[in-house]
Amino acid sequence: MEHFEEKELDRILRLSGLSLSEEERELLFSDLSRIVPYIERITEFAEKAEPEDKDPESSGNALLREDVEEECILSEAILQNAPARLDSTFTVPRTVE
Amino acid sequence: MKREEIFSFSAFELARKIREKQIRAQEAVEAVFQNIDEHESNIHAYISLDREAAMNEARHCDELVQKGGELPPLLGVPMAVKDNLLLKGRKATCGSRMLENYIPPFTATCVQKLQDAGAILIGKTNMDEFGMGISTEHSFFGPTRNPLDPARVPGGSSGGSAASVSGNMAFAALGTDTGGSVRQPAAYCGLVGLRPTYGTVSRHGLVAFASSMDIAGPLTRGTRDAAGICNIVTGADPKDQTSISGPKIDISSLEQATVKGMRIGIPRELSGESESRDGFSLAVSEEVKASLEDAVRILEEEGAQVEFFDMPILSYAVEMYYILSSAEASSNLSRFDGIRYGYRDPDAKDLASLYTGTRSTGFGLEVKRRILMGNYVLSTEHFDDCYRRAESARKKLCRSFDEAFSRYDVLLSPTAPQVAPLLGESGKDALQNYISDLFTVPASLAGIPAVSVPFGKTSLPVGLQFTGPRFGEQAILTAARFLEIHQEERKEKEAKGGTENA
Repeated sequence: MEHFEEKELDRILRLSGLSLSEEERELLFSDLSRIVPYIERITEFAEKAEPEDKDPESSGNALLREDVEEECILSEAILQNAPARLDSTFTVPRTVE
Repeated sequence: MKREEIFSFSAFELARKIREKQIRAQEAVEAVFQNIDEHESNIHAYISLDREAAMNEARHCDELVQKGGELPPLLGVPMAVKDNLLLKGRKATCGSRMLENYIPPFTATCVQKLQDAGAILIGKTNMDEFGMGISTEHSFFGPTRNPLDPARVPGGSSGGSAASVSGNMAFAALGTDTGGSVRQPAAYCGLVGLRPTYGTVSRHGLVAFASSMDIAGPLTRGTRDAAGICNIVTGADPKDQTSISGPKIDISSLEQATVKGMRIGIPRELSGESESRDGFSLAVSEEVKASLEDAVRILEEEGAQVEFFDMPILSYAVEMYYILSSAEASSNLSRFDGIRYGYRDPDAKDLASLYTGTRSTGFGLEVKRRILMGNYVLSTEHFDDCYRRAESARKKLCRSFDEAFSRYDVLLSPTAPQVAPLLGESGKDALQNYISDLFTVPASLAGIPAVSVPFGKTSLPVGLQFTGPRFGEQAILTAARFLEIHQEERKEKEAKGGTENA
């Protein structure tokens, strides 16, 4: 069980695409310093994953549907929720100078 | 008809009265909105309401009744749905700034089924952001209060749905349950909350939190309403490949439910006996313990075989749940990038700051905590130690349940360790909040059905939970209905006694 460190928080913030205010950082670092050792207690029960337990749920029972042509949601209905758009496209800030 | 009388009916009784022309759907909707006008500003069960649409639908229902012919089972019944279930053309915010103005282009399958059954959807209910929370205090739109005691929380994350029904601002509601979000608010608000077998309710149109555990379920004033609504919303759906059809519940057999000969197991790990491990413990209140003891006595008196047994893996259920659900949440919520839909940080200058700025200002604190936990357990350094081991333990948990159900018909436990806490209390210690999910997360991990039913002599409601094997809804609702009948008879006796004494 490792000690949760500030540099670990920085690493997962980058992975998460998040930044925190000073107040949030203080609070979440304090919380995660307790939560991470707690959830890592899982190692007490399952020392290591057994081969038969590693595979994801069998998809053998998954419901497969016929490939039937249906009316699709129009792009306008989707684009109405875009935070910024130009005609029938999403717009984003300039990516190349 | 007087408002009090209208609200003495269950959802399906109301539907019958409407079909039999004893009451008009418009009267029922008006009664609901009168209560909303009086209480909603204090309770805040709803994020959005549409009175005009509800009244129009009610008029249409009354016209159908006048025409006669075969009428759908919930015709004219005012219902509410949680704001993470999509209803075409009506905002679906998930309690988040990120989706504050999101208008879905389609309707969730389970919501469509309610509409097809004739229900009038009067509004979308408040919730902890993206379903992450146990108090409905983590909503961008502010907290919901418990109608039974507005100083207290209604539970979460389906707290708005629970409050809408408990406060007579809807006849029934749909919530969603990932780790207990239907059952725990039901317990706090004195309602029945049913989590059906995973997959039996389509997830199409349910905004994802943890896809391997998410499911919609009813919050109702009684077990028969829960069973009836469950029968309506369940069934395989081509739009959700994990969906599956299960047996329908025989509601008529619930009328005089008996537990004679039923084998009921109580896992010691979920019996309310607080056990400290590595300095972490779960404090179960005396009133919850007393309600469980009361139930055991009554079940045994009726002829049930009640037995305590050990299921040690349950002691690790909270760890499993928070590893796996956070991993799935961090993956599901990566879609919120400020580009395709939803909120965008107005100050973003480039693509990187657009992404980070949108997520950092669009998500609330609890959601950020879960995303960080998820990315921690999924990162290369911790994937085998945490995620793989939790996945392995989950399989072992499922096998332990299989073994338990070879000996018992249903399992019994409290739904939550205490009655509804005061507002502000449950936000103080995130880890302690997570540990308090111990009673509800095992069924979520195993994908098995569980129902919370109010039971006990306490002033604030206590919920007891029956858990069954996959497709075991009939058995758990039979046991819950038995306690419900007993509770109703007890209240009748008390009322009579009170009158006599007065």
